Amino acid sequence: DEEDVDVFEVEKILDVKTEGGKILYKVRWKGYTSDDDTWEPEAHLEDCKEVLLEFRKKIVDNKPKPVKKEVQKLSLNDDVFEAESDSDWQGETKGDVSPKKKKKKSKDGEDRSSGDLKKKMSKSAKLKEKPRTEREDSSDTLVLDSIPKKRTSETKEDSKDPKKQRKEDTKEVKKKKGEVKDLKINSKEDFKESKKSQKEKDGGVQFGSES
Amino acid sequence: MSLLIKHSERLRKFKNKGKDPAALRRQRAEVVIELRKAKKDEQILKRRNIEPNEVGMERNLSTEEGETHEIIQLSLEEILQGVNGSDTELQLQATQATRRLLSRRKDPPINEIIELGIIPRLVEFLTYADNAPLQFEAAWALTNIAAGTSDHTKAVVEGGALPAFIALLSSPHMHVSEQSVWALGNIAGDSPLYRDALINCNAIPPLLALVSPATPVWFLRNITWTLSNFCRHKNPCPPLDAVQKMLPVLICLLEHEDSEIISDSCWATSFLTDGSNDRIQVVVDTGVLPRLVELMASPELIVVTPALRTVGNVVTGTNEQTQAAIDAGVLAVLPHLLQHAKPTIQKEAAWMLSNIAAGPCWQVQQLITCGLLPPLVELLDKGNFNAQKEAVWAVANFTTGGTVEQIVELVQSGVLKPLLNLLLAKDSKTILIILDTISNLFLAAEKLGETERLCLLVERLGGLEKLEALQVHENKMVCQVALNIIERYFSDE
Repeated sequence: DEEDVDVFEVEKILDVKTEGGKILYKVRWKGYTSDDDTWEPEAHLEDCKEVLLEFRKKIVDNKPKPVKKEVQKLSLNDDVFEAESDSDWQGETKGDVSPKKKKKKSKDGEDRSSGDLKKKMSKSAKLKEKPRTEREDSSDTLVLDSIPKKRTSETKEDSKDPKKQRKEDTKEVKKKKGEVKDLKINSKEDFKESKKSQKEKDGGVQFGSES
Repeated sequence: MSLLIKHSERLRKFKNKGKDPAALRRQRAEVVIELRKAKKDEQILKRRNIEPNEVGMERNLSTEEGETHEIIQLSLEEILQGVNGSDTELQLQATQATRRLLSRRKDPPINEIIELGIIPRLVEFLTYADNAPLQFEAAWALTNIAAGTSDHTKAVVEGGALPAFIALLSSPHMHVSEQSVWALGNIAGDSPLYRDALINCNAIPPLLALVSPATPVWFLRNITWTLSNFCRHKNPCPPLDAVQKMLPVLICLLEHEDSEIISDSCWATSFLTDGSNDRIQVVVDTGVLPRLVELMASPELIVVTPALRTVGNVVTGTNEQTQAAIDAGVLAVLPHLLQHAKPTIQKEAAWMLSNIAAGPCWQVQQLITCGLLPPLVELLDKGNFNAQKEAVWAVANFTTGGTVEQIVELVQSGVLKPLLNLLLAKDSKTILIILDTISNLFLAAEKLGETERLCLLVERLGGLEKLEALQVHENKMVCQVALNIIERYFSDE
């Protein structure tokens, strides 16, 4: 346990990227300026859930809202080939986001210490990461033109049949597993039924006139 | 002498008060039945098939040991008379006869029974609390009428059945209440109109009250199924307060060991999540996602199908809702489902994947981390066509929202080859999506200065010739987009 390790408080998250298969978040440190922003792996931010959540919400708010209930149509016009301006979430968050105090207590009194990054970092490590920040601002966050949209299910062919006839034959074998149930068979014993023969019931005979 | 007649004679000895006219009627009916029996014995040996729409009489011989009595079917005329009469025995016989007709597998004569006009009378029988067998038979008959078309269900509802059935939910006779549960399930399943009519008649509390640790499994199955129908339908979706009442019970039923109960509970959650995001949230808020993910891994198809559907619906929601599904572990069970034996499961798993890939890059990253690229590539390569279409969406969304690095990983996972092969598909829409994806790949390549590498790769995989062939595709858009790609990236400067 190192005694001379600094613990720094995260003020907010500014951006996100991936590198080497990991997610990295751009951190603004409380009491520091953008000069000291660093990219931190997700794992370092375990104590900062609230800050993360706020960042993620911001991203959603800034993106044009996906239309979820329509079938996804990727833009097929010239937009595909035109370089559009960066979508908001890729770069620095546009507009000022007032830094919020992160140390809210949860309802049951647990201190989530959302603002504190309890990370043991030496100052030198922090400095090392600085140049990376500048270099990587533009290149690795890809800007694409259309935002992928969520699509609801188009076919509901496997949905259950809404109605069931209660059949005579209570000894009916249940349908094979895996089949879509159309008419559900009630397999319970019918207390009123006399014992049934196993014969098919629809081979009855028609009689003519009544007496 | 048939047992029926013996039985009737016995009855006559005990219940002969003021029953003479009825007794005579019964006697007559019995004689008729006797005569018919003799005829039937003859004819049953001659003919085997009943004509499709014949309602007539059937004879069912029971051959189980120790049982010799026969079940005699009545004619429609006799049913009408029995039902409308005041003789309780005949009422029961007639109602039972009706039930039998309506319970047969092939073409139950619903229209003919409705035309008899006996529905209101059957509904009345539902209220005869001192005659549970009659209530039961009437409930069963009405259930099967309501199991038909919307018009059939309407006839039952307009006969005044709703309050009667709701009242029967509290019957002390379990089979009567069970049959009522079933009937209400059919009625609610017909339309949002009837569903809400039942909800407004306060059907839900007594229905939920039937669920207890002591409730037998066969009964619970019906209750769960009926509850799922109360969750069914959109436009409008069920009232929120009704949903709030039903959800805790459904969540509970999800923990049952019986597969049918679990399955129907999952169908209920699938209906409830098939709507706006706030309705998805209501379900997510119950904390049910981990259980649903667990059920997605069930060996039982009847469980997997609706569990997968439910979580698939959840990830059409917000990023947070999708994240909740991811946090519940859905990515670990997806690979298996992408390779499932049943094509529709493959398809829906790929659909879910495509919607997660439509999310922000940290969710796309989780797809990579959880090893979903290889099964995706496999599906793209070998899956059935509907599943492949969904997989194409997944790849497309990936290339739209993923970072350059993620796209590089995608390409490295071998997705290009099967993707380019699908350019031969018959479906223009799919082709267009693939073309868009290719464009996205080139955009990423441009950022890395790797366009030439990508061109060579595409060429080597036979993609260029497919693109060239698409220039003369029947769909004009396909032609145009293919041409654009070729001109932009493959033509010599």
